[in-house]
Amino acid sequence: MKRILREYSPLVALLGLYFFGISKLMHKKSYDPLGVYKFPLFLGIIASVLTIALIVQACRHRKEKPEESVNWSTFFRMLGVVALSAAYLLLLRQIGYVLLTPIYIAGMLLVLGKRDWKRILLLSVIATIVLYVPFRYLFKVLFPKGVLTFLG
Amino acid sequence: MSFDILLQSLEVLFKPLPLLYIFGGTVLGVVFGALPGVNASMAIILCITFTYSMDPLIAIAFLCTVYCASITGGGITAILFRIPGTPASAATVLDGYPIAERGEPGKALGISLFSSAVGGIISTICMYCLTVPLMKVALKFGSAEQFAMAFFGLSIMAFMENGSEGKIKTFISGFIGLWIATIGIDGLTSVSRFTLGTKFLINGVGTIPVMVGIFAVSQVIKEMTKKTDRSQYSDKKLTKLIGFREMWAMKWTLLRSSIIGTLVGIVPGAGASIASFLGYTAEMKISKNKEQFGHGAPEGVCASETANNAATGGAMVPLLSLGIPGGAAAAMIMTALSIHGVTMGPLLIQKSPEYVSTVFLSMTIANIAMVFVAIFVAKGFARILRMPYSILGVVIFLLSAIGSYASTKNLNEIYIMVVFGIFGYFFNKYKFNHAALVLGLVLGETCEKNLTRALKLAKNNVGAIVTRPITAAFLLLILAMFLWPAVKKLIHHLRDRKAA
Repeated sequence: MKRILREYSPLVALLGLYFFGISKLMHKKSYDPLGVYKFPLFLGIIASVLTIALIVQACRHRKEKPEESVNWSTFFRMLGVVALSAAYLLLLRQIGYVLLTPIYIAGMLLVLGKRDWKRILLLSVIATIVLYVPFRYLFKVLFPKGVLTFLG
Repeated sequence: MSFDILLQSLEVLFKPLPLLYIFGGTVLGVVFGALPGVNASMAIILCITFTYSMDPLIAIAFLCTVYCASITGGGITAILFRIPGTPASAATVLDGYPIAERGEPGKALGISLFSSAVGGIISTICMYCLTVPLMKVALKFGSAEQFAMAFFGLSIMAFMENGSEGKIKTFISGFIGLWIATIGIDGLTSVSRFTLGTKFLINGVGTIPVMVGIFAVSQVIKEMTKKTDRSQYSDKKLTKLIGFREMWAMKWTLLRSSIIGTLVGIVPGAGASIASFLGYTAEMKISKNKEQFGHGAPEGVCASETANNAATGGAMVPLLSLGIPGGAAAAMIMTALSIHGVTMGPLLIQKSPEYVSTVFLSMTIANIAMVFVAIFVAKGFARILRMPYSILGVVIFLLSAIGSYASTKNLNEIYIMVVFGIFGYFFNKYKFNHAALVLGLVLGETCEKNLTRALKLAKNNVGAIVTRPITAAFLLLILAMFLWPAVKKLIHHLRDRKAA
């Protein structure tokens, strides 16, 4: 039962959010024949029926799998990757792509177990240049400049 | 088209400089297409500046080359890194990546390149010989027909997984994709839907960040959470391309998908993404190895890549004959030529038929050149897989982020990509279907928009929509596809009883 709850509760929550959205739409006037909510409502009803069928089926054939043991080193590594990526995305606008990307790459390589400093430094600088130059100068993509305002 | 006009175009193109432009366009197109976030229309925009000093005939040849090659290039990152640079390559990921994962990326890339070339050449021949009759077919495609075509594409969901639990999960995934497609301002009524009152979602959720998140970022998370064995990438098979015999075995797949791609390409608004999914659906239904689809079936890569490249030739039909661009990339070509004072449309075919023959020749040359150019590009890219995943994963993540950001230059797209990456990871973990979600997302808007339009035109009379010949044919085909397994079972049962 635990497995069923763990697997399907996010789906049910998603459906709840979906119908909340539809209820907001139902009051909006529209002149098209389907209305802005009928198509999503139709999708929602079918998805709900399917979710119920899935839960019923899972309850009928329930086989509790043995709980997987948590590998703590993997867990902490993942936590590091997620924290670094979140920090990178949040600071990108303020610090800028050119400055933050090599730091992010170096940090990620460290978290993922690389210890050769020279290699880390070289890789982070080269990867940043390889990713930045074509997109910036060939495709004219304006990256967040951050503190390096002179980059233009 | 007369032979003299073809000779006239040959005379224009078979000179060192135009051939160099075509070759250069092929290289640029393949490289641009291989970069995530750079789609065919963006590649054309970037190349328009090169055409200012060109003769209009050479300019159209150059831009058509870039167009064809960029669609092909999109398959490279889809196969190697699970990053579909454009929606047209989303179907390629489904079987291309599993083949690469088996340690045979060269084989998958080879199939993709040869199929693209064959699809491109067949559609170009169709375009040249049948522009006028094909246009008559395209004009019969109204909203109802486009809805039926998109609905046919969605029907693939029914065959993606076996077993009732798998099927239910696939359908739920598809419906989630269809729902995501409804987020943002509705194109027909301008009412914002599911935006949670924020400006963040007002433009909807972009197809590229969702696809990149679902396919690439979720894979990066998965690979980083487990110790992966990458010994399969150290073998010689890594850059080994597909052999002629294996390719010849897929001749009917090539032909079928080329026809599907060309026909879908001529329908304005349909485009390469619908073509690739339709080609894939048809092949999956017909193939004897149905169970291999989604797990590394060579026919899957062949069908989607042939169809999406065949759509490029098809897209030129309405552009040349009616002046209607079939998609964003064709619209860019039209704009570029208007700079040279060339106006596309029926008058162009009557007064300057050499444009049709030049497009035909340049696309044919480009499709042949593309194989050689792309082999070098693909072999180089395939070697990248030898890198340890700790480095490759970080680069893929950053490349995915740039790809999502580059299409709109909005940081929100990266956040959407990350959210869908995490969502995709759990989605995969609990055995929901990525491909069905992307299918719903890609076809959702076409489906809803055209259904609404068709209903409005038919004054809410559903009967009037479903009885239109092409719509009815599509719907009957879907019905037949669903009923065939049951009918087959019944026939076998009756035969067994008779024999007993």
